[in-house]
Amino acid sequence: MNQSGVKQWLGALASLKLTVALFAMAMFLIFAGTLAQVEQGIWTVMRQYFRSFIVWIDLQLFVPTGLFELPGRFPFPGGFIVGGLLLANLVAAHTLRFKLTPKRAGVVVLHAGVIVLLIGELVTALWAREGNMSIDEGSYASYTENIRQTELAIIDPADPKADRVVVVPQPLLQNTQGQIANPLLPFEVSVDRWMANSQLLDSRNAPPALAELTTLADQGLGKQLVAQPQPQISGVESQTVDAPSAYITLWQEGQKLGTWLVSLYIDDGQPVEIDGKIYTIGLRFKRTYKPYTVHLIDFKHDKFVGTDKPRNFSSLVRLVDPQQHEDREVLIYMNNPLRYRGETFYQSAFKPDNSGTVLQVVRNPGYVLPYIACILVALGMSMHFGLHLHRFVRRPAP
Amino acid sequence: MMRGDKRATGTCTIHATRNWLLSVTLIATALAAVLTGCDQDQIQSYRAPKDPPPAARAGTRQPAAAVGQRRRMDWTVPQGWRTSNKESPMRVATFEAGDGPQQIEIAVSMFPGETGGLLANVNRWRGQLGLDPIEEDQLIEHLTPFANTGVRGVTLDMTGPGGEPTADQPAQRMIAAIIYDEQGFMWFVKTMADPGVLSQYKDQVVAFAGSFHLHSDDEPPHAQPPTPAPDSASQEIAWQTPPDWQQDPSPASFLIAAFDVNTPSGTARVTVSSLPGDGGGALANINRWRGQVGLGAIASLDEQKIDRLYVSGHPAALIDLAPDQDNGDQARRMLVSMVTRPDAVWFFKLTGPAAAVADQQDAFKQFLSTVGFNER
Repeated sequence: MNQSGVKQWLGALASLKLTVALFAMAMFLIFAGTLAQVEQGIWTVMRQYFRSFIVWIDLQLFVPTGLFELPGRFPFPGGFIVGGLLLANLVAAHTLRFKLTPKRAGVVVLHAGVIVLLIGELVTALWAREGNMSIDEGSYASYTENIRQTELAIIDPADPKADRVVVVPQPLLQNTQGQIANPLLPFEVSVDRWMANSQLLDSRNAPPALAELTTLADQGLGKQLVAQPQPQISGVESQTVDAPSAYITLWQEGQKLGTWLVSLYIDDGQPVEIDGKIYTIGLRFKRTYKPYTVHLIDFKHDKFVGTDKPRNFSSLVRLVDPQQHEDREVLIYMNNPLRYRGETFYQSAFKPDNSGTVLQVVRNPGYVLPYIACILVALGMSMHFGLHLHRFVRRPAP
Repeated sequence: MMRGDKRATGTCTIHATRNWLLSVTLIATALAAVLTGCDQDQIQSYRAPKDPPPAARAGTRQPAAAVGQRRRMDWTVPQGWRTSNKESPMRVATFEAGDGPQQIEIAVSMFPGETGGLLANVNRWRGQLGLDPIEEDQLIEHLTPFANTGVRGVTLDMTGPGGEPTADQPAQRMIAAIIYDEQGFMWFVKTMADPGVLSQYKDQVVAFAGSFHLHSDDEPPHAQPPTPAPDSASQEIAWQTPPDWQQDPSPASFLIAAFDVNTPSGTARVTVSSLPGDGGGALANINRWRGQVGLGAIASLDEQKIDRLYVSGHPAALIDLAPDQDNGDQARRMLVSMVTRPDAVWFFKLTGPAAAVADQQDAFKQFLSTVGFNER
């Protein structure tokens, strides 16, 4: 591409019309994403609308609840495309028109702030990780759980020292078409029913609407329990999380091994025997294993006198990291998190009878970028308007 | 002038070239980041340390959202009850009994966690009946505890105010149960109806709630669970009492056992009771007991001397509540041991005239050392 071709290309990308169109699209995307949170969880909407390339928007979203049914949906650029193009548009505009004069300095700084903000969101979307570490008193944990994502874990427990684990992430399980086959898996998996949120009922008490499901599973706990779909936790309910369940069929070389009910509500793996070898399968929160372990020595939950209102939560933990030769005790309490290996451990919750703690473990390499962006934008605006004010004040009186 | 213009054009070209290289690099980096970031949804295999052995987790509850029916809840439906298809959020089962105006509905629902605790739920129901809320220290008077395999619960029976029902506000009666299972779930059994109608079913509803238990692997699937003995709570605990302690054959409904001891200084009484969960909290209980022996309330547990001990392998507290000033024979003293188990708190109390309690305190401690819980 010669230089004039590049300029032409940059010129198109830097177009102000494109900026306006992108702003309009961003506004519509936010509007649709907000409406979608009436029915869907905030994190589902975040993933589908704002952290995606294309989103399929249901027409029903724009009809007030209960008025009438409006089938159909249409594709729309997701947050990655709209945000990415906005970033490209802004960068291209400055590439073509960059002039560092005192008059324009404020505008340049302001736009630099917007660029940092866009990049900050990208870094957060891609690399920020948030998980819970839940530990019983006297026990330990070496992994965090992402309570917004699940995975199907197939565990080979034969080795007494460590488990061999194969995990199938939730996005693959949500697809009920075809089989999931992979050389890492000891069998093929097909998903008969996926329930993004569910509750388990005793099969004996299942309502007639679930009659078909009561006989779907022919192996494991699904013979006694039935999963009932529940509405997803919507964006306005923050205290609870979805508890997915799925009916899955396992296959080996075209032969059906059976159908199991797996659910977040069943926390022990269900055994599957293949060629004399025992595996366990189970649906669980997505885990991230750490090279260290956190032992809970003591959890304290003090309440204000005569009330159930918590006054203080604290967790006395022992951090053991053989790689870093760490072995020390740390007291984690409200507003006093533990920072270790780029992660921050906050006191987040506790187990129902105070028998254990729940720590929130957060890693966000881009956490500082929004602060920098805000400072730059504020600085840019102050410079720009300050300059105008200065010129206005110095203007000779008519 | 011409040379100057040329120089200026050349500088501008270099700037433009640098700028577009910079912008292309920035956009390409962002694109690459997006594409690599999207590569997380793959099947993965890894070696992972085994989860902590069950022994380390035994008796603890799991995080509410993470767990559920590791073991199924079983119950016995009284004869004549029908299963209803009525559904509502968190409703696990609905039953109907009777017909026409005599019909009642019994709802069973399940929630993760403590859902506010005993007091909040009891007061919520009292509000539905038009009754005033009660305080934590009054709670025990309204509850009848029971325990079965893997569960511990209380039943309660409340009638709304007003005596004779009126057309716009008929008096209502509620029979309900709150059941904690050891897997961290709270179960509610609830029925509300006209007091006269409900009185016909009280025994059935209480027996139904009292039949809740976690499914045992020894039971064949779908087996009807055995009806628990009325004193099932006492089946999970055993002890040896000194020969001079006389068992009270009919203790108050919330007590699991009571003994009277006659001493030269008066009669002391030993009681055993338990409450699910944290039993209402240590501080609230201690302040209630302090009030019973004429001591003022404390603001923090730090103000109360508490001895630590173990009862049947469970952490326990021993609290000696002796009045500051000796009021002679009238002074009352209380020695309490609170034993914290994963699903409940057990209370062992020795109460009586200060001298009688002093006489029996060694025997009481000896009694505590013989207490054994039947660990399931």
